Amino acid sequence: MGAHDRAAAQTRGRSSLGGLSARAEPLGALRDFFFAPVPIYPLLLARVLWGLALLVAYLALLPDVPALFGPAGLAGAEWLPPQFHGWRLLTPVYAWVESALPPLALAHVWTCYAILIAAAACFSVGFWTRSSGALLLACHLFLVQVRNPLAFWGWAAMLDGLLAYLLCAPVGRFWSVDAWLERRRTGAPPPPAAAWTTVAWPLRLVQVNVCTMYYLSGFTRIDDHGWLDGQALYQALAHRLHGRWPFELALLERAKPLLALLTYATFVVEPLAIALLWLPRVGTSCAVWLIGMHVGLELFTEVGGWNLVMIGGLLCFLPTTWLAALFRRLPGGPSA
Amino acid sequence: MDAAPRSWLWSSLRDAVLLPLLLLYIGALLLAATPPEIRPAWLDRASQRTSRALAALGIVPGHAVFTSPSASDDVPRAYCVRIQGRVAGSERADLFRPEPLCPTPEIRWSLPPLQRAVHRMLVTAQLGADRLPQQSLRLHRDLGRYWCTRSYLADRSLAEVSLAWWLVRVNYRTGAQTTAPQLYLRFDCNRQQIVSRVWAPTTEQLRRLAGGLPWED
Repeated sequence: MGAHDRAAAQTRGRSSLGGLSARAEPLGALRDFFFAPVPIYPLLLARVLWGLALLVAYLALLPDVPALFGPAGLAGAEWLPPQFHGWRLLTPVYAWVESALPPLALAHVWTCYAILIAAAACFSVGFWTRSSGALLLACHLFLVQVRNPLAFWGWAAMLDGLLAYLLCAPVGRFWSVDAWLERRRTGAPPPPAAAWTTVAWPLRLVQVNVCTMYYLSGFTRIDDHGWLDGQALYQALAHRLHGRWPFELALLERAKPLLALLTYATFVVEPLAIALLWLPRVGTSCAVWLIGMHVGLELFTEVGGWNLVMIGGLLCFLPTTWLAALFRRLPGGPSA
Repeated sequence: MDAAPRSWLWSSLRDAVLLPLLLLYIGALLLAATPPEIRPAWLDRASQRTSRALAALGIVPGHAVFTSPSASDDVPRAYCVRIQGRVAGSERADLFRPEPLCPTPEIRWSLPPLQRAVHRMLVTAQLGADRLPQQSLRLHRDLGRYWCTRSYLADRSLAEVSLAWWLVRVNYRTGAQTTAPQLYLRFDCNRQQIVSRVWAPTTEQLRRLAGGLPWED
């Protein structure tokens, strides 16, 4: 079994040594799970998707930057508005930081915004990848987690952790402007497929965080009236804040049986995804189903970058052979 | 140091430090992500504290999305907001009315950022009204303060700003649509404080407070 085939088998976490060896040596199985090399393809696609999601979302904010983040805006004049209870743990630290800083000025906010836009563009294409990714994360944390957590829907907060995991992997070393510049400098071809790997643990963290999202949202609904009654998708499409299309209620009425069926399917699959995604074959079907669900949600609802974020994470559960075949067809893909 | 001892040292550090950290972190994510619906009571405090600790670092294990706002068959059709300002001695004028027709008949390509932020502030304040009353009040004050200073009336400063927020609902069973006021707020721009805040006013109360129903004109 070559290095790449071993890595492919380990993408979903099965030890290539087989079940008996895993049970006899649990520490070895854990080491395998977290530290063995795995194909990096899904993280490269996630880099592009998440970088673009932030770039597009922040560009759309351009006319409203002063209103959302500025000192005369909705979040007020303090560097660190204290009204969001999630920050209570570090309140004394923030109080000290704020006392040490000059008053918040609109220029600071615009500077941070400009750096973020540049960093998001660079990160998506893999230019100065680690640095641009770190800058992107820092500016995003400042604007959305510190200045105004209510500027976006929750997907923006999900990206904090996901971006941090991505930065722990060499996502700039392959299929990136950095890689292209390196090849130009050395004259070497793109690395062979066997080299397109990363240590597993950043991928594992992305996979686990995707699972916890479905786990939390799925099990929160187990006593939810709308989900138990099959109403949830009807609610999503009828709600004109999130529903993309101005469906007449009569049309939604006729579509009720289909919407109820899809509601119940989602009601079952989402909470179980935390386990299903890790199983061979079943995991692939589950990932494909969830990706399809998010594509459908993007077509019919407006929820910001949620669907791009989750699709980026679900790519980490697709078979490596599929992603490898895709990358072999792309410019800058593996050479063999 | 030779390559072999260095490699051994790195493996040992990895097993002794990184592996336990990863397991601890994953455990924290799972604990924070376990919702109250399936969580035993003895885990509540640990889960909430872990969730706050992760949130302080900007880490979010997940969100409870697409949950029903109530246990009834009335589902939201639209959340509507209308913010008006009044210069002393003058009529009220609209400062912010993102959807004059609410529910909007337009295709929703994207939600305007300001409308999204205002909606989130109102919903967050509503959800925290009992548990986090200070935060709730703070959010409403921020809305009032912002609209007081963001005047559309050239060099004249506003005397007061009023906000009306209502929900258009449709009954899943019957298809009947109803309108349910959620909040009426009045903010004095000179004193920079809320002078009137009524949760879920009746239509009669709203007519009296606002001088008319905000969805009728």
